[in-house]
Amino acid sequence: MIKIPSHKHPVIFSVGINHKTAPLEVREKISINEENLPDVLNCYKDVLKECMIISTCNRTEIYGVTNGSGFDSEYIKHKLIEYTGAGDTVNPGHFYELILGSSAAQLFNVASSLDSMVVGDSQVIHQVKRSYQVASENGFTGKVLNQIVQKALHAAKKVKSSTSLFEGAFSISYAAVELAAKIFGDLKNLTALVIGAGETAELTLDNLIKKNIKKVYITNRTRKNAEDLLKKLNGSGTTECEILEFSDFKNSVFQADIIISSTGASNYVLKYDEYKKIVKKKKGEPVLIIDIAVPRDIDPEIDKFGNVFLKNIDDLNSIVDDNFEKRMSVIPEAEKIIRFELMEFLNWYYTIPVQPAIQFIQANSNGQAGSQIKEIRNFLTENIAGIYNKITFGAGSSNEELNHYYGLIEKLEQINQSFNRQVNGG
Amino acid sequence: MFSEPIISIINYLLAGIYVLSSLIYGKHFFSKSNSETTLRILSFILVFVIVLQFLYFLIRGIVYKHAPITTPFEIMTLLAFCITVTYFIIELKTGVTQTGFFIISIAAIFQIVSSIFIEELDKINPVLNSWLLGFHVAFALAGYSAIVISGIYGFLYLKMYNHIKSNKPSNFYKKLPSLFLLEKLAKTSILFGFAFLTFTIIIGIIWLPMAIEEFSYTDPKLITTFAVWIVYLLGYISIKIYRTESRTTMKLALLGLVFAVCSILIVNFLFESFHRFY
Repeated sequence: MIKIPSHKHPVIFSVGINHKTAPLEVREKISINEENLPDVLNCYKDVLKECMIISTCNRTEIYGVTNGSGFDSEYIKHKLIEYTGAGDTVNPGHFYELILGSSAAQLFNVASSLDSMVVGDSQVIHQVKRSYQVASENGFTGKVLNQIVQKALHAAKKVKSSTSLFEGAFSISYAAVELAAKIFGDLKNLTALVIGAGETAELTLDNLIKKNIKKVYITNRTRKNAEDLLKKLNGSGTTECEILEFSDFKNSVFQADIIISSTGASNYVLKYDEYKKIVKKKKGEPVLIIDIAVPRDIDPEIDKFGNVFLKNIDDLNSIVDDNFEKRMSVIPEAEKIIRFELMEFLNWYYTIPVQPAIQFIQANSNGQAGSQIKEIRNFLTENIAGIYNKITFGAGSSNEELNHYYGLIEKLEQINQSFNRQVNGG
Repeated sequence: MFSEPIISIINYLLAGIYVLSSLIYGKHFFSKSNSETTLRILSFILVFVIVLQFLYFLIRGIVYKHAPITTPFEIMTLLAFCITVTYFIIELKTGVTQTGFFIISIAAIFQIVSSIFIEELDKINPVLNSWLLGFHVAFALAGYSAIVISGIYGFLYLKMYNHIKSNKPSNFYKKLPSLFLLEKLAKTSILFGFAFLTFTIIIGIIWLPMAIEEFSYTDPKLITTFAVWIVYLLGYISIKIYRTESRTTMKLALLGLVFAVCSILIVNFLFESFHRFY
């Protein structure tokens, strides 16, 4: 639990649930659809100066900046649990909480996919960008989040272009098609049913069509989205595509050998009792059901049928990852890039309290002022390296980190005050 | 004059090559990377072992003037040959090389036992000169080869199934062909096994009463062969008529193999039978 007393300097923090702290059954209860993000952000507008929420299949994380009036991480958690109505499944113990440099490092690792369940998942860069856009469009971002997200995305892009971390990386669409090939071999005589018309569904569909799957049914609550998805596909080759009305799609489930579901529904789209009737019509034929939705679309009980292979996002992550070792070998390279960008951010962040003074000094530049800035910079460089090492090796608690931060700011302000006295002849 | 030492050398050489090919197939399955060189070596060894074993039977036939069906150990080397040839055809047709370790290892076990214990009988039972017996034994061997192969593919199917169901990223998952192909190979082998055993029994029923005076329908060998045939009949019915869930059929294939091996071993080595010609 992090409690920050009222203090004039804002503190950056992150509180969240991710694949390291909670299983999918818990994560799905706390996940937030993009359209609901502004509502959740609104819950924090009175207690936070800035705020953004990253909610993906692997995590729901809140990055915020305190408004100086005191901060209690328990409040952040309880508001989130209250909004999602996940109190039965989720408890505060499922959350991690970080402040200052550690929370910054967390965002950098998330954006660069080092914190992903499958390292090298390039979709996360887009997801961080989108989360930031939503927060920004709704007026929840300020100078700290602007800077940290910009730096984190810059680091991620650098990692992507300078290392092979994202090369041949796992993606849900790849895993789905790979798993289908492991069950069915050739996909040429198979039929797929795609429920939902999101980005992952589109990528998976594209891969299935490339494998010349015989027929694809697409269904979506909003028919237009299904039609748009069909238009987006770069030609369907030999694959026959058909749109099904969402209200009717269950009548066609028995025709599908592969079902991919990725709706934003909060309840199961396909329940055990409904599938029980369908499985009889399948006459022992195997069915692969890929549920990439969070919260899940398909009743997990359906996996109990012998010839049904029901896979959720965690299952796919653990079963298919051919390039794991290759990607692991470039992690030190990626960490080096992140370290550089993170140090830059921390250098900037720790000077926020003395920024007005620095700007004043720069505007009235003279020899004495130059040496003053140099002194601040040197002081920070020495300390930031220490902070980074503490973050990296996990030494010290949030309270220690906070005390260290306040101590640093105090020293910076002292340097600044002594300079002011010299300038003013005091 | 030199023929017997040559037969003996080829006999042990065959055991050695079977062990070697099992080891290379094992390395091919368990190693992380697949090298082209290993695949080329495997293709060469497989062809070499088939040709060498064929020559071995030919030389034995010329020297001893009978087919290699007079003792259980001759039958074993013939069974190893049948399994290897069947596997070679499967590998050629499907291009799947990763299941070789499991099948060639079984063939290797039969060949090693045969190489150690094989010996020429002083006197060959005249019954063994019948041409109907030739068909009977050929169908029986083809049937048992199919049983062995269906059992192995059934086992591999179940392994693969469990790995996919339980999300275990394993070598089995990475290296084995699709569940569909494993199922198809196992089911095809079951159907062939059933068909060949049916022919074996039909020819046996026609030929045995004519060739053997002390013929009896209560002979343990006949009963066990019939019992194995019943197991495969059930497999056939489950596939063709009831369309049983694949996993159940694969379990039947594996049980069929265990049952066939156990019953053959028990009957051949523990029971007296008229159906023994050595």
